[in-house]
Amino acid sequence: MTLLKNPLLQRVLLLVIVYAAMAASVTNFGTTGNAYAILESSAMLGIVAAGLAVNMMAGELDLSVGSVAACAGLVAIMMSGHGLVIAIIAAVVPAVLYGILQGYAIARLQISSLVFTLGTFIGIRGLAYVISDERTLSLALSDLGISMALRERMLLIFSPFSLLMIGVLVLTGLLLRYSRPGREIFAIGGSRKESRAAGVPQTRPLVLSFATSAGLAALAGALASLKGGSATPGSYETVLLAAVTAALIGGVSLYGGRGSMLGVLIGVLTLQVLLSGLQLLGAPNWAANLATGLILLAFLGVDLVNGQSPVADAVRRYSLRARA
Amino acid sequence: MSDSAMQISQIHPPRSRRLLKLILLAAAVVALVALGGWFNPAFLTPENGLAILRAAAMSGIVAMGATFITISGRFFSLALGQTAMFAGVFMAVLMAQGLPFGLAVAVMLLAVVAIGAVQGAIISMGANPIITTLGAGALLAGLAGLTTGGRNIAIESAVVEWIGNGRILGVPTQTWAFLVSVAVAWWVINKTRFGRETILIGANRATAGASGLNVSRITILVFIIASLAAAMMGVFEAAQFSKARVAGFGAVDFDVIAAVLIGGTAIQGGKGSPFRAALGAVFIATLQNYMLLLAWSSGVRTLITGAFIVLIVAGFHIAGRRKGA
Repeated sequence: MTLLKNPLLQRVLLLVIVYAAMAASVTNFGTTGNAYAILESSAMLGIVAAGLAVNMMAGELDLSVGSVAACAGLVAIMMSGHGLVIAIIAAVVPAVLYGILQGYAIARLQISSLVFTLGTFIGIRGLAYVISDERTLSLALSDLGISMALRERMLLIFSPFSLLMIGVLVLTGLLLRYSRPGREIFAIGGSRKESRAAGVPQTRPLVLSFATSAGLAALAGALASLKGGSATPGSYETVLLAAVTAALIGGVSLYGGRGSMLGVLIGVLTLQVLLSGLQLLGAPNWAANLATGLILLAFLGVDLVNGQSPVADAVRRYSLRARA
Repeated sequence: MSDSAMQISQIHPPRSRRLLKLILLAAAVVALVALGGWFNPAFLTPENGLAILRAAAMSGIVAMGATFITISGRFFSLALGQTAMFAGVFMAVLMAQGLPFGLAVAVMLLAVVAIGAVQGAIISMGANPIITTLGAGALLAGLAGLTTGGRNIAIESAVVEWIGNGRILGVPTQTWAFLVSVAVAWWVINKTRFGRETILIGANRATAGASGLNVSRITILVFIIASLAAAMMGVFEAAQFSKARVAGFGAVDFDVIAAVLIGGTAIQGGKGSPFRAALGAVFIATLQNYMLLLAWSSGVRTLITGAFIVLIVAGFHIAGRRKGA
């Protein structure tokens, strides 16, 4: 029974239960074709969630990821005539620069990232409307090959897009765990004051975490728009909600210093299996909103008990006293 | 909240400085109106003035409630637009079931109080307010879809028609409601025990808790107040066209946040005035109306609103630190 107390294993179990429930209630849910479809539709969410999770581990939150993804999608479609690589570079590089600036401003001003990114969340959304002239941009017919290439089915259930998502998660996970900047991000997220006292630089990990969240959001937005063949300035409004929910399901704490990329992957898959299942059951659009909202609030509760929140502190004090 | 200990002494800034802030903001509104009229005569007509006041009233009423959240140190709610939508839709559905207007509003308000209380309770346990309200907003949007099946609901009622379009002494009902809510918010913040407690927990939550204030109770009340203000806006919005819409509330939260911040309410809590937030709402509405008359696209308007928020937040933050140091 001690094995069941492993949080990661609990989350895998949750994923299996959700998948089994859906497979039992939706015909043809358990096929490889559907597994491909689920992976394919979770690719964008996974990449955004990876960046946002890095941010959350640093104890911050970048609210502007959805707006950045919309902008990047538009830029990628505009530049698609020059090929896939150029289109992605053109979308991601400005986003990384923006993330660096934003992280630097937040670190130097020592301002709450929630408040600061709320402004950029609104402003960058406006920028998306401005650069697109409020129109939907579509891939030129001659470039539709890009879209086909991104979603091409390979290795039974994967596509280049979903493989890239897994690659991004593995790479950020390894960097967080084994590189010095990665450990610094965990350190400032776990405890800002103690990490400073221990000599951990404060500005660099913050800048890095915001550059990661913006850069990965842009990568996801660019790829998703290229895959879909079009980009609208109002798109990806709900990706922030979904990404935070996925990260919370995966055990990343909003209080910082906690979580793993493996958890994020499990969280993303759990959420997507549930949403895909609802869609296949014929539930209307608002059902996804309802489900995501409920799950987010439920896992906020879980995070409250597990993370470094006042409630968790009280519980810990209480159990210590009970033991004494 | 760690560096806010010194702010306790600043809860009462000198009267002259508070007056100066107010005059500066009023001057900004007047300057904007004068400039607008100078460049575009259509801007200065009485009809347009009333249109601005009506627009300001909508986000202004919600801003009155949101001020309480910000002053109490819980930043913002991103669920207020959805709360307004849900309130309008829920009332319309109840009335379509045959309930009289008064009863429908009462039941709707009860639901809204519950919605605010649940959010406040979760947040008072230490959850991130922005994420909690983001989730609650999605939940409310889903609930609105659940009760209506995603369709707009028509309302047939002479009372509702009058609430939406009636005028008292030639001034729209919305504007009267705005004025009343400003007065009430000002009175509650400045003259009641609850108002002073809200300011105290915003200035320094740990100290306020240690000195015996019930932080949870105040936090829950603050979110109930904000939700009720949003519900009021939802009723007016639905009444104006005798139809409760299930979309189109996306920009409400942005305008409200901008109004509160431009009013100089300190984002880290403990400072702020409903009166200045009201002027902030008028300022935003005037700016939006002027940009609309210039036929600027909604994208440019959103961009400018966002840039404004970043600049004001950073500006006040730096100014606050200078003073503290």
